[in-house]
Amino acid sequence: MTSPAADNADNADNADRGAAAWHPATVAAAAVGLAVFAFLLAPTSGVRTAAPLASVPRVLAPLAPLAAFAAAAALAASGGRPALRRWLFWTAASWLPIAISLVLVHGLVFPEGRMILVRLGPLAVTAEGLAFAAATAARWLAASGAIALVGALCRPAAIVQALEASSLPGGLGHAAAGAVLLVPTARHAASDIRAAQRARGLVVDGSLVRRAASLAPLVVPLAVQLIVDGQDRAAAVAARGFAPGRPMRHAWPLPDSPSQRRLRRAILAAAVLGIVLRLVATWS
Amino acid sequence: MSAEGAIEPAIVADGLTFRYPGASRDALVNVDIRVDRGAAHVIAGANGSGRTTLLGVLAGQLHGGSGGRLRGRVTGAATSALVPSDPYLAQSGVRASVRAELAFGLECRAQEPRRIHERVAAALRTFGLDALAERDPSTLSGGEAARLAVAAQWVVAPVTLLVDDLAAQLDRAGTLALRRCLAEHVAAGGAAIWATTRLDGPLEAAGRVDSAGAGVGGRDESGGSGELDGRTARGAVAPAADVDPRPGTPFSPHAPPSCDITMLVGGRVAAGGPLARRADDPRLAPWGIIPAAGPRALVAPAAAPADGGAVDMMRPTVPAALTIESLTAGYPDAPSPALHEATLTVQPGEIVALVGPNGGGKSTLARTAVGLLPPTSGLVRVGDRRFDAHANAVGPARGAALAMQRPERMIFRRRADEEVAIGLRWLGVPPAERAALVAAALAGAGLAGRAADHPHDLLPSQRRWLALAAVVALRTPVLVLDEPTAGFDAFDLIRFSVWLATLRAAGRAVLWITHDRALASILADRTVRLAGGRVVADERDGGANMEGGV
Repeated sequence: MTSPAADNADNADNADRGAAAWHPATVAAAAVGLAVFAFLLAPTSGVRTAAPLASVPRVLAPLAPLAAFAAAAALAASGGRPALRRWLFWTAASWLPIAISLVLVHGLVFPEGRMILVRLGPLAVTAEGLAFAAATAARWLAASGAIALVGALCRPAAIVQALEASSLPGGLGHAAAGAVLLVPTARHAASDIRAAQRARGLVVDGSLVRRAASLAPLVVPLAVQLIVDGQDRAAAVAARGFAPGRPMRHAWPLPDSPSQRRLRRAILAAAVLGIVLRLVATWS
Repeated sequence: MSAEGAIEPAIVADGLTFRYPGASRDALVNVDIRVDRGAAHVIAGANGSGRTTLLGVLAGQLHGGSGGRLRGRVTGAATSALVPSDPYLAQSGVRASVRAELAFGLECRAQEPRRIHERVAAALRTFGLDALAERDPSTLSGGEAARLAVAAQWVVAPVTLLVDDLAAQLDRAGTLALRRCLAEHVAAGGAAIWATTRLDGPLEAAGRVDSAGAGVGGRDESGGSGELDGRTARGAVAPAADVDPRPGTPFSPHAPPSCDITMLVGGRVAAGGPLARRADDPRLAPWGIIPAAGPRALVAPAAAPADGGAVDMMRPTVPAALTIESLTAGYPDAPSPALHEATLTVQPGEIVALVGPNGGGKSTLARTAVGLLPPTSGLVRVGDRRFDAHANAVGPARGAALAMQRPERMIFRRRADEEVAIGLRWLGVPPAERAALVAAALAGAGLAGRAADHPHDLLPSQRRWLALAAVVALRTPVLVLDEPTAGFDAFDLIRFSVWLATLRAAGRAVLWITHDRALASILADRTVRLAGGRVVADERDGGANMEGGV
C-alpha cells in the first residue's frame, strides 16, 4: 500500500521534525553556547591556564571541545538523517581548511617547540607545535559543529522569517534575510550563465591559464545580474508593500514556546557570564 | 464593490510628461488616461514607445523624486499594483514557496493571519496555482512565474491592476488564464490596464475558447492528452469553480473584449478609442504594434533574405544536418527523464519550430542537442559526427550553438560589437575576418548603429537581438534558438522573418523553440510538437492542424 511517493513524504516529514520543533533563534543560541563552552574550558597549551580553570582537572579540560562537538552531533542527529548529513557537510566544509592551515603553520613553525620530530631545512616539526595545533583545531571543530547546527536544523525560509520577526533595526532583518536566500538564487544564475557561455564556445575546463581566462565571462554577468536584480527587486518589494522598519505580521508564525524562550535566555546569559569570568581571570 | 452603472474613476492621469535623469528627450509627452472602476484598458506601443514608463508613472514608481522629471498629475496610483514584464523580478526573493510568496504582500501590510490565509487560498484557486503552492518560486517556468506575479498583486486587493506585457512570457493557456483573472478583477469592481506590443493576446478569438465547451480551464488549458502526465499536469490551469466572469466583461475569455485602447508612439498618444474599432487599424503595424490578426498580418511565409552579401556572411563553415535519434535525457534529481526517445532531424537550410507546453521537454532537447546535458541514451549527430552520452564536445565544438532565453545570462562586454566579437575570438577567428562577421551580424539584428553602445543601454528587445547576433556570428551549421521572439514588437517580427529567411538561404539548420504558434506556422518549414518529453507530432504544414494549445 505504501507507494514510493508516500515514503518520500514520510522521509521529508521525519527530516523536518527536528527542524520544526526548534525555533531558529533557539538553535542559534545553542550553537553560540556550545562554541563558547568549547573555547572557555579548553586549555591553551604553552600559555598559562586561567585561574578559574585551575579547579578543573587538567585531564578533563581537553575533553571540553570534544564534549561540545558530541553535543552538537547529538542535536544534529535529533533532526533526522538528512539533517545529520547536512550538518556533517557544513562542519567539514568550514573546519577542514582551518584544521589544515593550523597543522601546517603550528606544526612547522612553533618557537616554543623543543621536542623536534622532523627537521625540514629551516623548518622543524615539533611535538609542542603539533599539540598546540591539535588543541586549537579541536576547539574550532567544536565551534564549526555548533555553528553548522543552524544550517542543518533550520530551513532557510525559517531563518528568513526569524530574521524578519527579530528586533533588528530598520530593514536590516529583511536585508539579512535576502542574503540568506541569495545563495541559491546566485547558484542558479551562475549555472545558467556557465551554460550560456559554453553554448557559444567558452571553454571552462583545461589548464589553469584557460580557466583564469574564462572567469570574466562567468563572473561579470553574475555580478551585473545580482546588482541589477537587487535594484529591481528592491523596487518590486517596495511595490508589494514592504517598507523598512515597518513591522510585518507573519501568516504562519514559527513555532515557539515560553520554555524555548527561557532556554535561549539562559544559554546566552551563561555564555556571557563565562566570557566575563574568563576575561577577569586572564587580566587578574 | 461599486454599484453597477455608477462611474467611478479608478485611475486618472492628466498631461503626464516624464523625462529620465540624464535623458535628452521626454519618454512621455502630455499623456492623458482615465480608467473607471469596472473597466479595462489596453495600452499598446512598440518597444521604446513609453509603454513601460507610463505604467511606472501610473503605479507611482516613477515620480519626480526618483531622479526623473515629472509634470502632470496622477490620481489613484496609491491603490494600483504593477505586475512587471519580468515575472521573476516581481518575486520578493525572501519566500521559499508559492504560498508564502503570495502571503508576503499581506504580511508587509501586517494583516490578520486569518485573512491572509483566506486571501492566499483564494489567489491559489483563482490563478490555478494550487498544485504549485509548495514549489520554490524561483524554480517556476516563465508561464507559471507570470501567473504567480499577477496573483501576488491581486492578493492585496488593489483597485487598479497594471500588467506589463506579461503575454511575452505566457503560453496560450497562460494568456487565457491571465485574461480570466483580469476579467474577474474587473467584474468585481476593480480596473485593469494591460500594456502590450501585441493586440492578439488581449483579443484572442473568444469564440475558439467557447467552442472548447468548458471555457477557460477546459480542454484548451490541458491541451492534448500527451500533456496530462506528471510534470505538465502540475502546471496546468485548474478550472476555478466559483469563477464565472459575466460575458462582455473586458478580457473575459467568454466574449470579445469591450474596452478602450491608448496607442503610444514616441511617448505620445497617437490614437485612442474603443479597442474593437482599433483592432485592425492599418496604422498599427507602422507604429510597431502587432494587430489583432496576429503575426499573419505582418510577415509572409516566403520572406526574402536581406541580400546576397548578408546570406554569404551567414553561411556555416560547413553545412550539416542536426539529427536526434531516440534521445532520452533528464536531470539527476528528477524522478523521470524530461525527454523520452525523441527523434527528429533538421536539414541544412531548414527552419524547424519546436512547440509544446511548459515542461514538455523543449529546453532539455535544446541543451542535449548542443552538449550541455549528456543524454541517458540515444544519439545526437551533427553532419556525420556522432555524440553519445560520453561525448564532451559542447556548443561550437560540436557544430551547434544555442541562444538561451535570457540574454542577460551571457552579455558581459561593454560594447555591443565586442559582445559579438568575443565568441569569435574564443573560436580563434582572425581579427580581420572577425570584424566583417561582427558588422554583418549586427546589421542583420538591426544594431548596426549601436555597435559602440553599452549593451545595458539597449532596450530589452535589442539585447535579445544582440544575443542572437552573437550566436549567429559563430557560423555553426546548427543553431538552436530558445524563445527568441519574446517581447518583440511588429518591427522586430518583420526583421525576424527576414533574419530567418537569410539563415535558411545560407544553409543553416535551425531548431527554433517558441510559444508563438501563429508565428511558427508562417515562418517555419516544419513544426515539431513535444509534450511529456515525447515528440507527439511532426508536420510540414506549420502545425496548423495540430490539436491542443501550445
